Amino acid sequence: MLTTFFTLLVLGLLWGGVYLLMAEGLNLIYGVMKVVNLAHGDFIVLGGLLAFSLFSNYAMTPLVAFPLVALLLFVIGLIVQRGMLERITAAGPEGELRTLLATFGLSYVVSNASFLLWGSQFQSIPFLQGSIQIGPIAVPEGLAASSLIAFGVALLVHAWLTATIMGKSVHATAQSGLGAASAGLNIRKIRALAFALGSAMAGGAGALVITLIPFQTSTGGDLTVQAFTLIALGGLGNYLGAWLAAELLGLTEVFTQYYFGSNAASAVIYVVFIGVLVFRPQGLLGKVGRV
Amino acid sequence: MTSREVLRLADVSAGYSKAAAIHGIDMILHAGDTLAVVGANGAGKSTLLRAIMGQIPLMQGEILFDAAPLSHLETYRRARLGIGYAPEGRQLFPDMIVEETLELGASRETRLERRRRIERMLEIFPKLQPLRRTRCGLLSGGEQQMVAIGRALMGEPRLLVLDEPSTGLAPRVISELYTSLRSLLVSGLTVLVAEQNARAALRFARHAIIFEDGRIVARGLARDLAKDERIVEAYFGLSGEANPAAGRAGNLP
Ligand SMILES: Nc1ncnc2c1ncn2[C@@H]1O[C@H](COP(=O)(O)OP(=O)(O)OP(=O)(O)O)[C@@H](O)[C@H]1O
Ligand SMILES: [Mg+2]
Repeated sequence: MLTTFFTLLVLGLLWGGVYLLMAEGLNLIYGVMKVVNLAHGDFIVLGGLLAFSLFSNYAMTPLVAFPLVALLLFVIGLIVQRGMLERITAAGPEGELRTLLATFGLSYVVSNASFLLWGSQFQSIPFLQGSIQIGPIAVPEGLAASSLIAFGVALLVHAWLTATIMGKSVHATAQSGLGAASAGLNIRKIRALAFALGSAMAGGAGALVITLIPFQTSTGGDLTVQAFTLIALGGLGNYLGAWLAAELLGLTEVFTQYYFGSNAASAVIYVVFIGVLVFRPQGLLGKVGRV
Repeated sequence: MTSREVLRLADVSAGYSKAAAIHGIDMILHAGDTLAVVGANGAGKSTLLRAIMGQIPLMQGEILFDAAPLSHLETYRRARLGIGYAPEGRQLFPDMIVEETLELGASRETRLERRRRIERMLEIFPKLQPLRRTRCGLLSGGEQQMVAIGRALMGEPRLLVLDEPSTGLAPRVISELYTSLRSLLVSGLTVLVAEQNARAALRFARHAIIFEDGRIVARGLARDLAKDERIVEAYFGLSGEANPAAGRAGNLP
């Protein structure tokens, strides 16, 4: 009984790490920079499928594919931001709506391109399928590795955003582009860097998560919604908040699934989410009265 | 004035989409000079400053800073060249604290140098000293304006460009602000300030130009313009609204 409880607890926390990994890039792109990227989930799937191809063609392990795929998505992110989004926002008011529509289109382009390259079947990479025995609890290696990496990335990005002048420039550019430019900051470069970094995080997450959750080219949409939900729940742009929210999601899911079945799980998750948003509209760690 | 020329506008027209909002502007600022641009709502003061900062493209003419044309340089490059800009509406970062905001004005300096300059700003604006860790969104209007000017000064500019620093401030706060600005002039800083509040601006600046419908209708020593009856009538009214007829009649050679 107690063993079951602790096993569920550990599993829940580890799944939280996986969800966090998939939301971290969007937390930079939307949470901090306020760019609505509806293609985020498709970037994750693209990263995963790229890692899948590297694995099936070159037997490359996801750990090696992770930085490669991240780099590739970094470049794609740069191209998208400089070639498309920067022009759209520079073209005047209602930039947000146009960004939303443009990334909605981008989501189609990415998922259809993935469909042409990989077809519609579910793909996965067998990796780290063993488990580590800690006392009576068996901890799945793959989950543990993803969680560890997610937590590491969250800490790194949090430190970068709050403690370095470059990270602060990202915040500043998001809050007032004109103010940032007046201060001598190259805002176009900063926006491009932030979007590319967020895309790289999405791609890298995909390379790892495809070892745990099989991806299909159409999975992207669900992942986008999940990532948006998590960062709203955590408090936009807040990395520690997103981590808490992800753990809450992981725990709720694992426990309700065990005790009430998987149909109940998705319902309970959204009840919890709505509850949090009703009582803390700014998210778990969000600031009140954000302008 | 025998000192070096800092800023020169030659026959500058600029505006939005097709229509020009300022027309054929000529002006020169020398090192250490202070120039007030006074005019009513919509006269084109902010447009002039935006053209100088590269926020809008020129339709005609040329702007030179330190005798070199600014051409198509982006705003951040002009800031790095030595033009400190405190735009209309302050444009602070509401979630960032005062220290961080100031720090970003010198982002390319070493950490030590950034620290040194922040301390200097807090000496210039002592009111900010106890607020150094307060988020900018929570500051009063006057305090926000000090942070905006401080951020512009952090790059140690040779030219400071201020767009309506007195907007929304109580008279006492306005005079405090201008006192702080005056203390900067000893170091040879050149200042261009656009104001609807003619009284404060003309008291502060040495030279002034009066702006109307995007054109310069009067220019001269600020103290002479402040005595000119027609200008006083047009721009010192409590409403702050210009009487166009009076302003136009006030054309100085
Ligand atoms: N972003 C813009 N797009 C189009 N027209 C504009 C824009 N900003 C200003 N204008 C127009 O240009 C003219 C000059 O405006 P400007 O903002 O330069 O005046 P101002 O002297 O700064 O006025 P205020 O004292 O109210 O700030 C006005 O007719 C205004 O309507
Ligand atoms: Mg103005």
